[in-house]
Amino acid sequence: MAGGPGDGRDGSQALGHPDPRAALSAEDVASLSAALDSAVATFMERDRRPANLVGFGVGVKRTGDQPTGEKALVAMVQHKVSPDTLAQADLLPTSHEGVALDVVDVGQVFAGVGLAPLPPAPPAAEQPAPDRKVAAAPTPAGGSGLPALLNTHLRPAPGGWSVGHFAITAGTIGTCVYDILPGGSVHPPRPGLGMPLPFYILSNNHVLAHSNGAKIGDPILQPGPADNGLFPGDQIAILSRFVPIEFNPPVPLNQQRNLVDCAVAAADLRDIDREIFWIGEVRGWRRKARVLPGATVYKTGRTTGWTTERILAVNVTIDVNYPIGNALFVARFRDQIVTPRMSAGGDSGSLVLTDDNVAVGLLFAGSNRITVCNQIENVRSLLGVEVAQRIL
Amino acid sequence: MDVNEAKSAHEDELLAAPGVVGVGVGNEGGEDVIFVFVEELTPANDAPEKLGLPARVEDFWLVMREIGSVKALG
Repeated sequence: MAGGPGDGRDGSQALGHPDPRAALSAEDVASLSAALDSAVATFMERDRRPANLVGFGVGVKRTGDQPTGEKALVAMVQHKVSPDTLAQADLLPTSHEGVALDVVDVGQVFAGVGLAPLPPAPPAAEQPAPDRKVAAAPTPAGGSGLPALLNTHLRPAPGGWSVGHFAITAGTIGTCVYDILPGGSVHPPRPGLGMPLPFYILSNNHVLAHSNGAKIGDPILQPGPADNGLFPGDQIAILSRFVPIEFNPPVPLNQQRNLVDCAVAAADLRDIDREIFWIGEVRGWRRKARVLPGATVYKTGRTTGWTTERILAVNVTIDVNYPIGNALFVARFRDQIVTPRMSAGGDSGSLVLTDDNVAVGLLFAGSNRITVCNQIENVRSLLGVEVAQRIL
Repeated sequence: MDVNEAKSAHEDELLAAPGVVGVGVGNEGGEDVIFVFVEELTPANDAPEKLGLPARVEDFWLVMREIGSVKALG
């Protein structure tokens, strides 16, 4: 299990991080705690909080997108703007109590916004030239030895088939979704009525939005690049929105508030199909309080096809590794569903349903022992999309 | 206090134990339990006491589980 997070919980140093300038040790983090508390007290107080500021953390100062190795307080803002456009009261200093203060755009954790890549932009994330293979595309990890089954070009494309942003390998179409309709709400959850346009493919942020690295409007390929999906012939959709993931670095694990790894990409209705291969139509979705250990669930995914398991645990807080470019980032997710292993690399984005076709989860991570899924209720709330009208 | 409340109340101390990569709520033999996830079970971590944790929190058993190295599946 070399390279796992087991022995370096709150720093990335023990993760075999390839760039030590982006890493902080547990001692570094601890040494910044007094300055952090002070900064939070100084800047996060309600009546004096600068516009845009949403949080504070400790991390590594960056110049451009490159980590410098200097430990720093990290001010998280929704949109980073040029200092000369800000009022004096909204300016943040460049240091606080002798510690460098860096400003990072974390986006807004709600539907429709959030374009900023938290990790350094991956190399070669450029618009692909027409009809040129855009990624060398190593076979997705997982090592199952299973054949990739659902990796062909198909229109309309049902849930379960290969999909991906042009700069990734390949993931899975969960199903097709639409914005919560007029009159619908999140608290309490209630469906609306009306005309859905546009329609979207639902999958993960790390499948459709390249782990925060994509731009809204980027082309989405079906099949994904690892399955020889090419731009423009295999383009099926464009990235519409995603919920940004907070990564360490720069955000310490115990300060992350990740609930979901999800994104949607708008497609022409005739090119997509809300049926899921080998599963059929989604009858409705289930509130998280009713998703319980022991329930039988299934999914269809690009790599392992149709698989079924029983839920092992809910309300799970878990640290997930994201290899991005040549670096490894860790994100702590709360409120997750864990099953024994029912997936492999490339299955990310699969919709997980009960055995009577009620959506409960969105598959996004796993190991050789388990599979991890977001609660579909959190996906619905944070992305503002509906997988089906009924709450079952 | 139900098992979800107990898990939430003690989550930080569980996650701070060496080698713990996750915690969750489960059910074993009809009894609600709190899972403590590690990448690999060894003689050094196969019981909560070996990590400096209690055997139970509130009224719920801590159950050690091996889950491997968890990563995004894109």
